[in-house]
Amino acid sequence: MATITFEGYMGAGPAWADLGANTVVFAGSLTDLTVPIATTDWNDGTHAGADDPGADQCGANHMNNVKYLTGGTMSVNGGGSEAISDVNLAEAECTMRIHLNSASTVATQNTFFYSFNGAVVTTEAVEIECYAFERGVTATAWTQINDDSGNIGGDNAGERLDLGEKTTATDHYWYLALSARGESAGGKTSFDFGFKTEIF
Amino acid sequence: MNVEMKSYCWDRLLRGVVRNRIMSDAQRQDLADFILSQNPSAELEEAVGHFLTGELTEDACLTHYQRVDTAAFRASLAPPPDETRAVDARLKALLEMA
Repeated sequence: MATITFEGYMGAGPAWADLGANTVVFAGSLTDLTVPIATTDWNDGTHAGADDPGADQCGANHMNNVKYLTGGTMSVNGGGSEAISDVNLAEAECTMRIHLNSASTVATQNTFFYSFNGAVVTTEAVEIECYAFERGVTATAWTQINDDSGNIGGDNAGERLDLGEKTTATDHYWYLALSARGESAGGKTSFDFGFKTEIF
Repeated sequence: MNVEMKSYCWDRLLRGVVRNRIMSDAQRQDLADFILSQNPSAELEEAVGHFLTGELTEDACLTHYQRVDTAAFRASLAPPPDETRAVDARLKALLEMA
């Protein structure tokens, strides 16, 4: 039996907490998930919303916001530009982590993270541009995982983030930074994330 | 990748299982192609050439291959996990834009 949870660093503490059935909301404010992102800009806040967006479920501390600036730079929680790297982005500054737990020890292979339209995993999220970064694998640049206008996104080779593989253990964690913007005005709900791996 | 050949090489060199088979020309060529596809180098090409003409035995050829690049050899021949299980999960997202 293996379980996968998406976790945000939030709440009292803050601490890593299961996002559960909540929605990860990219918004225009670090503290208010109802504030929209300015047109063509990237996320200035990331939150756990009960719906679309519904009430904020982050608690005392909101989820970390990592904003795409350029292919190799980021802004963490409104801070100045920094090169995106393992050194500059601490685990506890990542947008989320993915936790794989198994009753018995397992290793992984063919592990991927992707965005899609919420219905068909191989179809990109609608009117979204999104970048992802995995901390802990010495990466130094964002990876584009969605660009609807460029027909990029979904669970397709070359259009998803190829995550580092794990050796045998009962708990595995992948730490990710995520940044997104809309390609047009208005709320974007045909936008989900997916994670898949093979355990053995 | 030639799965049968991969399994054969794994058993023979890394597990010490000797099957003492008599190789046909086709099998000989198959093994030669496999070795060169895994580690194409001038040194190995020469060894494989001798193997194909019968001047080098299969064991000598395989041992030579293993000696040239043991790490790559082990990686290339590592058997797939006995059992794999696909698992996945999804998370709803929303982007709010003015």
